[in-house]
Amino acid sequence: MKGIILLIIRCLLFAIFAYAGMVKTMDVSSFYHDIRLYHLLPDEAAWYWAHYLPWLEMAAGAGLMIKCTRASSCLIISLLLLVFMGAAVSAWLRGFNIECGCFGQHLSPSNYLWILLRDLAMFVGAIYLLKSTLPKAPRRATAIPSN
Amino acid sequence: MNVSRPRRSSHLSTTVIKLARKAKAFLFLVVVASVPAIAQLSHSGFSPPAEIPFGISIEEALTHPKTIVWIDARDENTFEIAHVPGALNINRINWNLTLPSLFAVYVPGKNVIVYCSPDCSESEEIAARIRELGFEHVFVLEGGYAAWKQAQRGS
Repeated sequence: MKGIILLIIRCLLFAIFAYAGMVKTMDVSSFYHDIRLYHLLPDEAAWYWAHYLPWLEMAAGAGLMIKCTRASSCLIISLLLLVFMGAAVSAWLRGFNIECGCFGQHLSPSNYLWILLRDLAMFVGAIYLLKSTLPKAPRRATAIPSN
Repeated sequence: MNVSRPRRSSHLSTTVIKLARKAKAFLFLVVVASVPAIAQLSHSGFSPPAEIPFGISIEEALTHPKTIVWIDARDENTFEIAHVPGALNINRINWNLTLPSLFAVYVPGKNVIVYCSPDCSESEEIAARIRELGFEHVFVLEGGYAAWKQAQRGS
């Protein structure tokens, strides 16, 4: 049962991050404008981030499906989600009425509560997945039957 | 029955090796993502497009001798409710569909003024996109549609 839950989480995160990355890659200019609206990064940094982030999302998403990169992908996804949530909270607190830029083009302003809940759910999933991939602690004692 | 205890040092070294592998995989993903990003950057330029802060007040806009092409960057429903007479509704969603209408009415020398709601940012983005296409004299209306509406009431 645990295996099925992990597989579902993995597939969902893969689909979400691969899609989010792909959509942004197709319109980097818009994504750059979205990042600028947060007023968190200087223009140069926003420009590089707008080019790098979509590929990182896709790489992290794809990495979930490969055993040897799974833990790293979970870690990257968790860190990205923390960054996204931080950015959303900061925009919310500053009263910005902007788009989140999460999945490409939308004209409607962000519903911050929904974004935070969605990111939090994904974060919990990613952490659960990460925990399952980490090396397990040794058993305290192993009983070996004597001959 | 013998009870054997796994050696702590051996477990520690195994864990370290596993974590090192994961760190390697982490770096691998980070580097893999940077390769296409750099390729894309080399295509679109390593520095961001120059920001031209071409804000224009409603007073300036209305007294400017050049004729104006108004662009309403709000969504279609809001545009339908009310807009500046003769404005073109060009926004991010219908960009590809409606852009030809701008080419149809634009002649060099005209001012292009983009507006949206007072607290929105679409006009800046649409203006930036239009400038990227090579249009000159593209401005963003300060205060958006509300400023225009206010000016109409005042006049």
